[in-house]
Amino acid sequence: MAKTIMIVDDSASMRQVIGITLREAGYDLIEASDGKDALKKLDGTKIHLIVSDINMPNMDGISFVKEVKQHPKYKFTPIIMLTTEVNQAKKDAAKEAGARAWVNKPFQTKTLLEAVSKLILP
Amino acid sequence: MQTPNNTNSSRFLFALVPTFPSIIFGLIIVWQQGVSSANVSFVFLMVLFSLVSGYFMWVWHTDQLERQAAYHQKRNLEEINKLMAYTVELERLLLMAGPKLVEQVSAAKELTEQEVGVLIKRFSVINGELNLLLTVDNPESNEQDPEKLDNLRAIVEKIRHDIDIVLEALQFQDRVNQILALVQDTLGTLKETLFDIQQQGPERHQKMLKVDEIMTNIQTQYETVKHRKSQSMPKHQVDEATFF
Repeated sequence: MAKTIMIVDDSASMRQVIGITLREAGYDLIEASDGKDALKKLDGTKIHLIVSDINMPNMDGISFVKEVKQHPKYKFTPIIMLTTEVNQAKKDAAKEAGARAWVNKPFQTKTLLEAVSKLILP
Repeated sequence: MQTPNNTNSSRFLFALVPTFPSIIFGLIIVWQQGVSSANVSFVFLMVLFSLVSGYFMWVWHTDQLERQAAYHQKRNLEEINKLMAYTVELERLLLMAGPKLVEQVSAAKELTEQEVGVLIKRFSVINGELNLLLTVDNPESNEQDPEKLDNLRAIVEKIRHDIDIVLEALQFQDRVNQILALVQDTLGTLKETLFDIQQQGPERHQKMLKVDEIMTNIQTQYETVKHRKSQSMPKHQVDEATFF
């Protein structure tokens, strides 16, 4: 059975690019347009990994990671930050919040897939 | 500013200006021809005449000054009114143009997002078709030369690799979105600032535009984007994932 990955990004085109990459690799996807939307979609469905942007409206990526880490069902779900952000302070904040990896945009398919396969839950 | 005291003293001094030569001339006459009622009367009349003419000269002079002051005041007021009308029109233009620009930026954002979306979908379909080409159970293709099949596989892989590169390039849209969002924010801030100032009416000078503060904020935001851009240049550095 295919593993499920949640993509959280406010840019529809970015969700599409990430979606193509991950679907090609055989993963099922759930898409959300920002942190709040993503929290609504964490409804008990088994999610093996989350890929999230940082700069988003309504709820940014770091706040979203903090919320997920408080969630009893998803607190162990690995999270990859996929962002254009290069600020070291943000990187540290993401690490402190509980993110497991940081990938810069624009990303190469290979880089994202390697990070996903390394972190995804069994 | 003139006060009643210095107005009186200046009037007195002004009247004395033509009186001094009369007094000196009178003293010379008395000294040369001796003190007589005719001489004293003549000198007295001359001094009186000088005082009166000095007084009228002062009146004429102050009248000229008042006329000139009124003329300049009127001219300044006209200039101030012109400047005020220009400022009000400029504010009106910025307040009206701001939302239009935000609308246009938003439309540009949506349009590029849409177009890039269509392109990405198309590439996704091509990718799927390429997969089909490799996996289809075609008896004719099975009978083909294995070397030809290998060549076909190699071509398909190359096309897929090229598609990956195009998809990577299309991620520019994300950065474009960020920059356009920044432009929208900046326009929104400017509009709010102008609106607040306009609400103060003629007393708007009390809350002056904090131009330097606004410019510093804008600069900081754009610097962040520029910084990201420059940071993203050395691909080998950023293309690797960092694990925590």
